[in-house]
Amino acid sequence: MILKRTLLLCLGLTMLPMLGGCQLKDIDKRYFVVSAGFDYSDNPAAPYRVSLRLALPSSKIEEGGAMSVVQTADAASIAEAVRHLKSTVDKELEFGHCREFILGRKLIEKDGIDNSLQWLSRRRDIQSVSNVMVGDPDAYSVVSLKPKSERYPGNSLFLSFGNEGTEAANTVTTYLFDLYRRVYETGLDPVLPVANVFRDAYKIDRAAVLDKDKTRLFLDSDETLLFNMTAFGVDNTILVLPDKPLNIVLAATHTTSKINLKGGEDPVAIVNIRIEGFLEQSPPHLLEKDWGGLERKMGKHFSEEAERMLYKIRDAGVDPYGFGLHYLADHHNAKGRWEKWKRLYPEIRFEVRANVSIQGSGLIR
Amino acid sequence: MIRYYYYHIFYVGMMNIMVLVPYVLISHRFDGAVSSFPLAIACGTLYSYVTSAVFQRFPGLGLPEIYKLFLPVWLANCLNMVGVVVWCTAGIIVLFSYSNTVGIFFDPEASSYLNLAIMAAASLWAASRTSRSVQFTHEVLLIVSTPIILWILFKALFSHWLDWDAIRLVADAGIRKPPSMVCLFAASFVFSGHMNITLFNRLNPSDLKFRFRWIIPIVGTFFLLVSFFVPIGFHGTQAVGNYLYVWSVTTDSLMMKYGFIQRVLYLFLLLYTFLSLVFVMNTWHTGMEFFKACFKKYKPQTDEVNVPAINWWICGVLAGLTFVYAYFTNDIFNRVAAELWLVTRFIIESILVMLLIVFVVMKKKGYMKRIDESRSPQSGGANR
Repeated sequence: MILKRTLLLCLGLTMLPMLGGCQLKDIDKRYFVVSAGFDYSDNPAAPYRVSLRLALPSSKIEEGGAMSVVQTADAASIAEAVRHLKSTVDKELEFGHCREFILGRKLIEKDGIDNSLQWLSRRRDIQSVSNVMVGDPDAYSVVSLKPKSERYPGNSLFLSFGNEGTEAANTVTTYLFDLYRRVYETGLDPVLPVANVFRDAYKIDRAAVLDKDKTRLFLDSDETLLFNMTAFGVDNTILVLPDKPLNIVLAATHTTSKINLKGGEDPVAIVNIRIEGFLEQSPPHLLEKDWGGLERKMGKHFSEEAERMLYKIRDAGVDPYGFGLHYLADHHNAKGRWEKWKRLYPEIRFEVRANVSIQGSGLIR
Repeated sequence: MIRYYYYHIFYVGMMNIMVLVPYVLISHRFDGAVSSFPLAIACGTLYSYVTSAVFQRFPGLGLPEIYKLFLPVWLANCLNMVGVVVWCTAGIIVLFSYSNTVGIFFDPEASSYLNLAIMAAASLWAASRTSRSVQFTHEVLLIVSTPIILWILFKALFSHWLDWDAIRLVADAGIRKPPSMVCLFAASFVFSGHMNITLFNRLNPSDLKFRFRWIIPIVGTFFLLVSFFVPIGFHGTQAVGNYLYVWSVTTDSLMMKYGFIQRVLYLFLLLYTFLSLVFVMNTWHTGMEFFKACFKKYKPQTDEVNVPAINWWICGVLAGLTFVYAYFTNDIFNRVAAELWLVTRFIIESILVMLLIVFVVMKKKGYMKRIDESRSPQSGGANR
């Protein structure tokens, strides 16, 4: 009796793993999408061009050994384009590993990000920590680039973001969930990194600032650096003080920034920023002469540059810092505060209080 | 063993995510969610103090036995059946919403019934054991999963993507609005771990003192605030309302850069598998015992060697009901059902608390229908 039951139980248990086989496609019947690009084609009947980079699994793992193919399809919407793409490949598309989404510059200038974002946020297999960026001049050129340094298909692009691989100071990192929140939030506007192809590599050193839908402003490389430091407090940046005969360069290792908002009749946004670092380049014996003065000079220079960038962003009518949200949070539940803020923001003054502290001359003596 | 009592407090605090409590609260985030928190904290704490104080006076007796002491049989049976309905529907709702979540995030291609079948089989087996086994299983699963869940919560709490402005905005706007009833009912769920004592008091030795009860408001408040405010911090004040499984999306926004799985979501869902199974096991087991208590011949046994066939039957029916529910329901209906359940639970809990106070008074005055056959604590590992 006991034996019979045990046998039956064993049989049942061995049958259990077979359940896993139902409705599940094997890994060798799947194509892993590693980056996806959305472009605006000039065909009004099928305006969306989706380009997917599909990884080809290979047995060897080495630099330059990454193999992939790029497929493109045009359709009236992104979802349809992805469906069409399925008919051009022999395996099921799998988005679970795709962490790079590139929106063509023309797409977000003409059509806005809304369509792409709706698709991205509805697909459950797409990670919320995917990187979203703008492709300049189009997404296809960024998607189809195959850098020589790649070990795995697609990994060189996402190593550029966050601080996973390179810790580039002027690369803005925007995750999908962050983009989604910024699109819906009152008083906080989206910002996206801009990627383009430069000599067989990606160059991601600019940022696009959007209103809720379309691009309003492109920041250049230096402004992006300033933005990154003031808005996100990104570490490992540089601070340059133009000087003769040699620019003085501070390698900032630690940055903290805090925004303080003074409302009232003459609203001021005060950005307190503290930068610590050591000199990476300077004329000899500069620090011995006037350590404190140099710190003040660098701080003043940084403040001026940052203020210019802040006014530029303000004049474009966008708010990637979230000054508006900060204002709303400060001014509790007063009626019409949002309308008031919209009136205030175009006239707001900025004050950047930079506190630079030089930890050392950087010389080994 | 006082720790078994606090296990319940802890796991119900964490479980609120799966009963759609954050969803209900967040959908009312601008009209009365925040202002109902102090009320919920007060209510929850008060209720758990009252229940634990009352059950301390009836050592070794579960709720059905207490009913029997004071009430006529037909009324006791009616009340037992109310208990059965409330407990079992909780299990069914959680099982359905959990298998749905798993279906969405783990394996969208597989049939949702497959997930449900596997989970229902596990719950059926676990719930049909004896009370003592259930208690031990609970302890093991909770010890495994709690530290990692807390780690995820703290990781989210200290993430620099958390937008404190959004949190301040909601907290400020919300506290000035009059409290909303639905939010009070939903928020007080976090504190309702004490309700499990209604059955598991049978396992408590007669000299058990409920010490450290000040932990209850602290634990409850912490889980309540975290499960409400962290998603708001991650998704902003507006976008957070667009999600149904708010916490799954929130944990997906976290990254374990150096972990072997990058998506925290998978770890989170795995841990919530444990918690959901514990929840379903506890609720179904309690429901089952309440149902069995309606029969005259029934003698409460907490450490039976052989599992009686009736256990299998009752839990089998419950598993079947889950399938029926899954067949007829969808996400929208489940949302409504969860909300309805949260409301009913609170009302019934309030009635029960009052009833318990009445029982204590009756005991003092000596109005007892039957004599308290003070049961000697049954043999079992926990007492020794």
